[in-house]
Amino acid sequence: MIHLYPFERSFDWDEEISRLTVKSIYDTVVNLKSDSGRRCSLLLKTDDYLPRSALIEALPALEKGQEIVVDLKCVAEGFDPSCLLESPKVKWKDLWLEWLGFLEEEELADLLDNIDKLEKMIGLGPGSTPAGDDFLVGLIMAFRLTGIDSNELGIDRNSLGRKTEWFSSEMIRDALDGKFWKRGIDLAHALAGDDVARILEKAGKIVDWGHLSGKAWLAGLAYGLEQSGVY
Amino acid sequence: MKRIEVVKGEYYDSVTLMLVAKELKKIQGVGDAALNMATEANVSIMRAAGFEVETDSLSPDDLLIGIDFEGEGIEKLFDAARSYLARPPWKKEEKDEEYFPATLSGALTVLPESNLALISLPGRYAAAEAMKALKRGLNVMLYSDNVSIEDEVELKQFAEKNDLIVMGPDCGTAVINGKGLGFSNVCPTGSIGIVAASGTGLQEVMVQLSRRNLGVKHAIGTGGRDVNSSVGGISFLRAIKELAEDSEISIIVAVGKPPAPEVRKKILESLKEAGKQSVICFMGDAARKDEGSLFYSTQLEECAVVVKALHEGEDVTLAREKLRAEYAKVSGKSSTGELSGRYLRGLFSGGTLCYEAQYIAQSYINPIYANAPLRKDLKLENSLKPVGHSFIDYGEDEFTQGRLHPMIDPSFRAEQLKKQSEDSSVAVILFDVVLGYGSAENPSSDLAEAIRSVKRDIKPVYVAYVCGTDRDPQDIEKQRSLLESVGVILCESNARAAILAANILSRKER
Repeated sequence: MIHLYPFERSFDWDEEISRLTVKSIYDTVVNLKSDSGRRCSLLLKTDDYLPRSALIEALPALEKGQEIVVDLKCVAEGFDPSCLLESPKVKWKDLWLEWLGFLEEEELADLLDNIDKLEKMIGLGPGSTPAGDDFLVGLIMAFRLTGIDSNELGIDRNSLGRKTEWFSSEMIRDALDGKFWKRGIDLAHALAGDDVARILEKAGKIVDWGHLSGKAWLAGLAYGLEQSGVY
Repeated sequence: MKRIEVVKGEYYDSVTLMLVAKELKKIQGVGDAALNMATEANVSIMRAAGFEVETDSLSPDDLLIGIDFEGEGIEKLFDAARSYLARPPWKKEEKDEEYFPATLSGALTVLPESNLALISLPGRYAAAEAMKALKRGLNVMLYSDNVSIEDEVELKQFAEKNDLIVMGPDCGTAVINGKGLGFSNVCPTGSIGIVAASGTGLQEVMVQLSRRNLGVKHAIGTGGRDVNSSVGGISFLRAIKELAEDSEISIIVAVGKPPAPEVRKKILESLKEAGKQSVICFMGDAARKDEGSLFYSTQLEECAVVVKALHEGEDVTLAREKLRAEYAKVSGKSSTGELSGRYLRGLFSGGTLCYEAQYIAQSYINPIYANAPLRKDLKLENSLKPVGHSFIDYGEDEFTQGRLHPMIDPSFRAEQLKKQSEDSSVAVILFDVVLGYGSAENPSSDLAEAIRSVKRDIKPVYVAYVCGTDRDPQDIEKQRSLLESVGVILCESNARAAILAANILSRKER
């Protein structure tokens, strides 16, 4: 069995030795499934950090379904997926409001049609992670940032696995638990500050995430902030 | 085989259409590819290129894809075109770029102290966005053309009431605090202020000043219609006021085609009140004597020469005489080798350069027809079929609705250059190449290639002017060399090129 030794991990991946199954393989990311069904990930790039993930210098040739061991003994903590600080400053409102405009893109039209029926968003739309799920995760982050209980959304976490694909359902579960991916957290931090160049840089990194994922996520964030009643 | 496909109700910007056409032309066996919005002008251009276009049920919001392909499988090329439009291949390199606001409100959030909005949209949407910007307290540079005169007046009146200015519509060039906007050459910053109702006229004056080591602080474009009776020079007058109040501006230059008489009067009064030396270049105007602080010129290079003399405290009359002597030497160089054909064709990308060249050439040869003529009775019936001595401005609306301006995409003008070169009645071809930000990366390349491919025993004589500075991004020496390598005679100003081209023919006629 292959043993892998990352050099840095997210705060929430705290098992020293994990036995995992390879679920999906990309150029710079490998997603792994634990016995309990949770997702863990090995990454090459810091920007891709997400809950239960670890950075590694190189990814070996792996196959789907292969079992591996990830050894996290004495590995430094690098990224805290729960690290949300303040809500975005009011002065950026007109900037984030324009992200709702992404929903006018033809491929995201289904999301706009269902925007008042959030339960229907789960698993809705195109993309390897359905765009509706990305929208919801952005929206949940907005609720977190503005102090709204995400239980108000009425998402049944037990039925997520039936309604959408595995990676996506894990992403929504993590969001409901207050854990988010690094690109989103970086943007939230930037929106809470005064550095406009940083906001544009971080927002740009999200727009470039996937074909539609980033845009749907930003639209969800904007929708959530708008609905929060704080602005 | 030439085939057309219509994509109903899909709008794409002209840069995207040009880039997709270029991608298609790279495919082996593709003789021609043209993507245009189905405006009346584009339909006639595609028909002239040999594509059979049925106009029933076509609207300007439809996209025409025309492909000329030798061999089987032309359908795959249309699939490729649609795929490029959906996911442009050149966008692969744009990963991890910073986010750019997509709305005016978003942009003002990012740059709350900004005071100018540059609006470049299809004309029918541009006025509404310009008004939004004015209502947010922003000055406006309205790059778009095809804005109605009623909208222009409304925008300018609103701006004037609110101490703002609208540059345009159809304002392609401006310089604010030494920074170029739209089409602009890389020139030094200095103490000259320009107000211009013409884009390439402004560029030519700036380039000629730059070649005389003079810099410009502000160059405010107003759009060509501003000096007509219907608009009344609202922006022109506003710009003069701004330049007059700027203590760093020592000389004001006013450039354009002749204004309406009542507007001219207001402009001259305003310049007199400015209390600064002013040089006025209304091309096509009757020559006038200088009066007090006002100095007149009728050509763009002369305008720069007068400004230089004033700036250096030299004798303006002497400077003009020296220029005229140089022009006489240019005329003297008009003995060329064998000449075949009888007519001069001017094929321009710059509207004012085309106008100035006509104005100069008419002193030597007549009549000169044009799509934007000096007199209404000289208007060409069909710009794609010039007759006699003809000048075509390929930047006119008829060629730019739904397609790129020839300064950005030289390919259509290059095709016409080849076509005109192969017309046995054509003896001399005069053309311009305009460099600077906003212009094509390598504009001389397409033109040189077109000349190289001409099939005619005795080719026409080619005379050209490259309007640019040695700091422009296209590398002016490279652009000049490309043209010289195919035998083009280059001149140092638009005026000199027009003098030489017209003289070559008039000598033949004599």
